[in-house]
Amino acid sequence: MKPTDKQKKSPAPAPKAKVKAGEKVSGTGAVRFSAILLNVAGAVAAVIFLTVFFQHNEPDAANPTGAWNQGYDWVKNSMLANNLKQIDENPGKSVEEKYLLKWGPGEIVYVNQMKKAIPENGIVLLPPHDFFKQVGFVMTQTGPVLQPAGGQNVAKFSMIDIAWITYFLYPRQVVYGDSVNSPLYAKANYLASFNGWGLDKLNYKVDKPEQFMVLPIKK
Amino acid sequence: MFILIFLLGFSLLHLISRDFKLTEKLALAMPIGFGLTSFIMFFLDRTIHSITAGGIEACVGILALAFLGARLYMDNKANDLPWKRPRQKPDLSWLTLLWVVFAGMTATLVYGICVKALYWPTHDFDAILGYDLLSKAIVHEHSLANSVLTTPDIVNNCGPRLLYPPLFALSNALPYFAGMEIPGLTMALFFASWAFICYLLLRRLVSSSGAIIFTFLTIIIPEMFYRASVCGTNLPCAIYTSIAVMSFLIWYEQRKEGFFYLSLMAIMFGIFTRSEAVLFAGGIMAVLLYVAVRERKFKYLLIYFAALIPLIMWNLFLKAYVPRDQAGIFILKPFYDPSKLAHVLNTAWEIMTTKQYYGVSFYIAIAGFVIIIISDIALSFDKKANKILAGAAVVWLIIYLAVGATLLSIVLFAVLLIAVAYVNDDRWPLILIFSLALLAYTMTFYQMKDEDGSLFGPGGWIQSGYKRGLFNYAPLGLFILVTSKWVSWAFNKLDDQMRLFPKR
Repeated sequence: MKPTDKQKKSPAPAPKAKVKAGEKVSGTGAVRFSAILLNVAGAVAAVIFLTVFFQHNEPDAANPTGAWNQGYDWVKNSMLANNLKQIDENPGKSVEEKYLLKWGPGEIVYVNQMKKAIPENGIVLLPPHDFFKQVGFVMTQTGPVLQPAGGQNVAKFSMIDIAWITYFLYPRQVVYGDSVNSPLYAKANYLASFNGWGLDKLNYKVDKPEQFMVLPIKK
Repeated sequence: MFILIFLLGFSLLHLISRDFKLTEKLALAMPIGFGLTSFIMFFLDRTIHSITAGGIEACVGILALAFLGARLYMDNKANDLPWKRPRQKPDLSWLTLLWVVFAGMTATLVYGICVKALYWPTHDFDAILGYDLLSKAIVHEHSLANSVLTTPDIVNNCGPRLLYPPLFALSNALPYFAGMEIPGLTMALFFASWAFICYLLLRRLVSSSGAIIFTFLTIIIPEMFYRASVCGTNLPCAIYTSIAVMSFLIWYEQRKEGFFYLSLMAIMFGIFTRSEAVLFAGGIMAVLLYVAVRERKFKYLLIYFAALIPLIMWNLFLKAYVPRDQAGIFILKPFYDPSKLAHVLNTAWEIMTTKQYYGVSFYIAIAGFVIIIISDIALSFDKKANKILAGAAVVWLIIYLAVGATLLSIVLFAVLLIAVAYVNDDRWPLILIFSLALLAYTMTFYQMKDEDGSLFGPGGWIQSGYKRGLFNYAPLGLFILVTSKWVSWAFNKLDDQMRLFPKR
């Protein structure tokens, strides 16, 4: 058996089409009536199939594993429909605004503030990792407010990950308060201060300290 | 820039062979263009150490012109220039109302997910701590060996997601090079092309109704559809591996040289996206070994070894530039731990059958395997080999009832399925490649260390890595069913009956 033989073989010989009175043969340019009927039936069957396939099911406590079409229902009727609606309602948003839409006014508010205050060639000094482990934030109408970690509704910081915060601040460079051996530590020219952390590293005095500030280290 | 990349892919396909139809060249142009452009970017990085928008555009433009010129020269030499060829009348014999309904739904879904991809900025954890971070650094520093990939803290914080081969990170950098703020265009172009590619490759093997229904079922695989709007390597890798396997099958059956080289290119691009695509290269090379031994023709097998070049290239690059202090994640010596094996197989099955991830795709694939075994044996029962295989199927059933779904019963089932397909000439290479790759892929997770619970835990290797790695297998599972002998025959009969326009 050669692979090339495959073309010559067919699963079963197709019976010769019998032409009935009143029918026109395909291949002659005319359309058979039975073909039109079959097409309509096929289209109706396809529509019924798609309706069942994407049928929306509300979560059912009695059936925690969900309906057989749960995944298809979710992608079309929830994930895609909700996203397209949100996109329709929010045209012309900037990237920063889209992050706020997606994630809500959380840590991204701090990140956007840092991006605005620090030039692209800046190096920012962030609090030490332990500091981020001890605090988190809760969302308020005016933005995130710092709270002790473990408090009610407190979300933890992602900026404890150097890669995460580098992604958002890039090409600005990032160094943590506990990375004293890093060559960037001595070169840092901006400070991100949370809850007053790091104000002692500035060569000037801050008159009205705020909960979150981005400041040049030297003036 | 994206038009140039499209032209690059199109001209390369045009140069390789005249076996491809115009529609196939149009559908494949973007993924092939992205693949080749990523190689160009890698080459620019290694030679002049500067990846810039101007440099990419110049190289892509010159290469596209060179490919088109070479094709025209060859056609002219053969006195067969395109404009001298007789024009064929358009053939609409494939068009049915059923096709229109499924194509309409598929197009609506693809449009919707592309709108989503183009709107939202990168928000996926793996992209932020991996490919998109690397893309930003490539664009800003004009180098692949940039501050992100050479800073130990960042490399160790990101983990392996930063260290995948660079095709996706390089392609993902292109929208930034073109001045866009969001890189979603790359994924949108990959996914839109994927819908056409699925359909057109299936059309080489089945009639239009079968092809469009299974294109729809492939496009709407829930986790894959969702990931089409999120930056990630798994979907592009699955697109490349599917192109590689399906075009290899077309070459094997129809011996159209162009499809062999398309398969080779696609697998190289797949491996340059994620190293695990090498498993498919292994499966394809097993079939090529069979061809080589049977026909005494080793040319194709030797040529296919080129698939390994991107893997070697990337590993050499990592070794030279990237500081890694991660301990290896694999156990390098063979061992037998039945409880771990059972745990891996059970978790793999749970993931395959989780409705939220893969819907009914793997159920359809398994139903397909059973249909292939039963129909091939029953409808050609006069063959002696089929009588033996029927006996083997009964023995397998007894073993399965006795031991359940163990590695032994799964391997025996795969052997039985391949044997049935081989004896009955029912696209056995596709089944062999799929089975070998899936088995090897699953066993890779068995070889992983689990000292810190990162293998089975939530968000661990199996729950996230294995889950998305199955992107390579779900489409092929569906393709096995629709391209099988009797199912494709049934679709052919259906389309014969529904034909509205004459065949040309």
